[in-house]
Amino acid sequence: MSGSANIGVHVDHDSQEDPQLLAEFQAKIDAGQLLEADDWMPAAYRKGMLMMAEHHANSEIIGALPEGEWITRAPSLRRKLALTAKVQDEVGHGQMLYRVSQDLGKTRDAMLRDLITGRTKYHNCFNYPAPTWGDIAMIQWLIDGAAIMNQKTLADGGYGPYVRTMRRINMEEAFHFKSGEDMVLTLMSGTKHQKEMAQDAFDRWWGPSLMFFGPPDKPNAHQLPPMRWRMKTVTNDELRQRFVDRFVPAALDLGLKIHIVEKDERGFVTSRRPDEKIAFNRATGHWEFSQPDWDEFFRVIRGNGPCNAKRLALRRMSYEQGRWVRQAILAGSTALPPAA
Amino acid sequence: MVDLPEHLRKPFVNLLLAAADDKLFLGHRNSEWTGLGPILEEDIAFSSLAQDEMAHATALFEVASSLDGRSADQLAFGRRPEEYRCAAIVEVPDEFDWATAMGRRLFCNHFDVLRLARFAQSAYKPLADLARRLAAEQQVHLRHVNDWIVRLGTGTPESHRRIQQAIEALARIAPSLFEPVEQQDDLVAAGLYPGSDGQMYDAWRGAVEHLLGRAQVTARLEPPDPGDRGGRRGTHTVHLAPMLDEMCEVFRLEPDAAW
Amino acid sequence: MSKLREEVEPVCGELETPPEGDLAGYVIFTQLKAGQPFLYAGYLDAADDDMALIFAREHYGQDQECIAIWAIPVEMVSGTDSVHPASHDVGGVQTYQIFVQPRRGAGHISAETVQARSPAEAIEKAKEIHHDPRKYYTLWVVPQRLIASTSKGDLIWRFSDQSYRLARGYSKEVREKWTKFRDESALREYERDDLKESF
Repeated sequence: MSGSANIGVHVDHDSQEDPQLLAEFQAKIDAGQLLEADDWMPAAYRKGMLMMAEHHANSEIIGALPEGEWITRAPSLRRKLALTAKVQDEVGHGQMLYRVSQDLGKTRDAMLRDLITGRTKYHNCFNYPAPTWGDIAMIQWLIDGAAIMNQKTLADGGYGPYVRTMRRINMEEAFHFKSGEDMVLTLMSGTKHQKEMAQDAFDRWWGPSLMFFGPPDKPNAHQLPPMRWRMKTVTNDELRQRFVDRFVPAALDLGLKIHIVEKDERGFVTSRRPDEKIAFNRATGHWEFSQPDWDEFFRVIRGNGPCNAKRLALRRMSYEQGRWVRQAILAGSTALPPAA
Repeated sequence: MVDLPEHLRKPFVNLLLAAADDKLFLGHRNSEWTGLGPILEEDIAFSSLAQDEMAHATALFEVASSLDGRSADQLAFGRRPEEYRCAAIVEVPDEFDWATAMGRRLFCNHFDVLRLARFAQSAYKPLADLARRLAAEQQVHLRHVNDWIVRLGTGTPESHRRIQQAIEALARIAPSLFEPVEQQDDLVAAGLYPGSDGQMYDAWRGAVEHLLGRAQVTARLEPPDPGDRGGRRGTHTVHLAPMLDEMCEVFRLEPDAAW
Repeated sequence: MSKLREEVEPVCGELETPPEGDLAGYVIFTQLKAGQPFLYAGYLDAADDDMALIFAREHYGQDQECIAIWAIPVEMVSGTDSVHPASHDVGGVQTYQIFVQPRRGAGHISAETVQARSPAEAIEKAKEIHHDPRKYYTLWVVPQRLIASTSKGDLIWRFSDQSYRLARGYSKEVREKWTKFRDESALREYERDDLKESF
């Protein structure tokens, strides 16, 4: 679901590289060629791609948890099937994305261990709670909608193995988004209680959705390695505006109100007021909106969000409880012993 | 057209519900693992099988719905606990133990293959047609579970101990799969559920024990006691009600609403 | 388990167990229709061939309708790229399956087979067949006997209704529901956007 390449990955330009090779590398990138694993690439690029795919994979694996809680409570047979399939897709995306990083030199086991011991990060938005069925609808509509927008641009990136994986993932994201849209439409066509459930969940997820694309751009975003090397192709703020332009009118048409909210430490809304900036600007052709609370964003990313500890603990339990199973299949298999 | 005598309608619906409920709760229990499996690849595979079970349940509920009048969702989510017809083995939680999760699938999958074979011969054509379709998918499940049971049984001393323990515990309740629904004899006589439970039990036990032998695991399977009233007649374990409360938590907020 | 999911105790600090390493990597190909080539689907990790096929069926086999799957240990792939160096060790003559990557960024597709005594020789023979280097980016060869394959007639894609896990399973309902909130022209505009770059 996530497509989270915009945060947590800092690529430093390494001036130690051979200028000739670096120039050839940049020429391939600028010509729009896709890099393959055997192409020469700067160490910083290799490391940056590994981290980007790892962070993305971590986000898929952790992203499976908040929705996973609701599989057993989905309110119809079709929703139950769909939610199981959706969470399953996320695990599949995680598996495919870990492979990209495995091929760049880190074992999946090391990545999973780094994730559950807090050494590496995952997407911020999964540190928020999903206390009602309305949250499941909003996650699939807003967060998956945001993820598709982001991942479409990542599929235009420069690293072949990542791009191949992204194309495959995007095929499945369309289902996630459509089913999310269907759930939101169903709630907003439903009873008073269902509409309230949708609005409350929307209030919880609008801020994290805006934050999804990462913090505001640095002034020189286009010159920094991630964009210069086409690891990403569109800036955070550009993507955020695209998202707002699509989702604000849709939300308003559905009868949802866009609020600025305050939340308690559990991530629950304690007060809300209308976002009075919301308006279509004819001059720019874009919707205006209030920025989310970036202090909150950085607080959560440092590990102090409502659900950080809970998400990691559950993933860790899965790893620890699964150990005997993994040992059993290794013992009985004809495969080579695991790589160190 | 369909030849279903009116006096057999209710018992026949119960037979369909027994199969649908088994599959619904097996899928429900298995879907609890989605996102938490022991290996990412198996997490994906196990979710796929959970979906199959729930999809099969949906198809069976739809056949039942056409005779009962309630919708498939109302049948799945809207009954009182004593109206469910599932067997005890799909009700017990697995407590996040992979050996129990797999052991449960072993007993249930081998049973389902045989039950679907009987359904495929049913005089009630919509059921027979459906069962033939589901049977092909059931083969995929058998392959998966058989492979895993053998790996766990012959893997490490720890995995052997765990699967042995899980199988022993489940073997005590597994035969309850064979408890007949009310008036089952009449359904058999009318050709709606052809075949005999005795032969089916022998075939099931043979298949399960053969596989367990390959896995170097032993189990003592006793034929079900006909006097025991269980899930097929609405008497459930203590685990069903809490599972239903969880499953129906959202549905019950607005039972008549579309979700 | 939901209760278990909610009640799990946060644990901090290092893991008590040593690193486990990874299972063997496999590259998976799927065949969508009889007579068509096998297309690259993705990778997975598995303990052995049987397990790789079981995993592949339930992941890549469910992405789209397909009738057969190949699972190949990554270690057994030799290629014209430096990531999969081809051994010159000569053994008995055996059949090698060729895979062609049509261009940078694309997935490999199965092509001809050749007889060769070593992977390196198989690569050379593959290059003779695919003699125009403008028409491909890399070639792979794999000893055919090392390709684990599903059996003929095996069910992979399910018969049961799969619409719940496909976007097209929702399109009609979503459209109908939108008509309560938006007029036809706005809806058409919105849908057009759906297909454009954003979605």
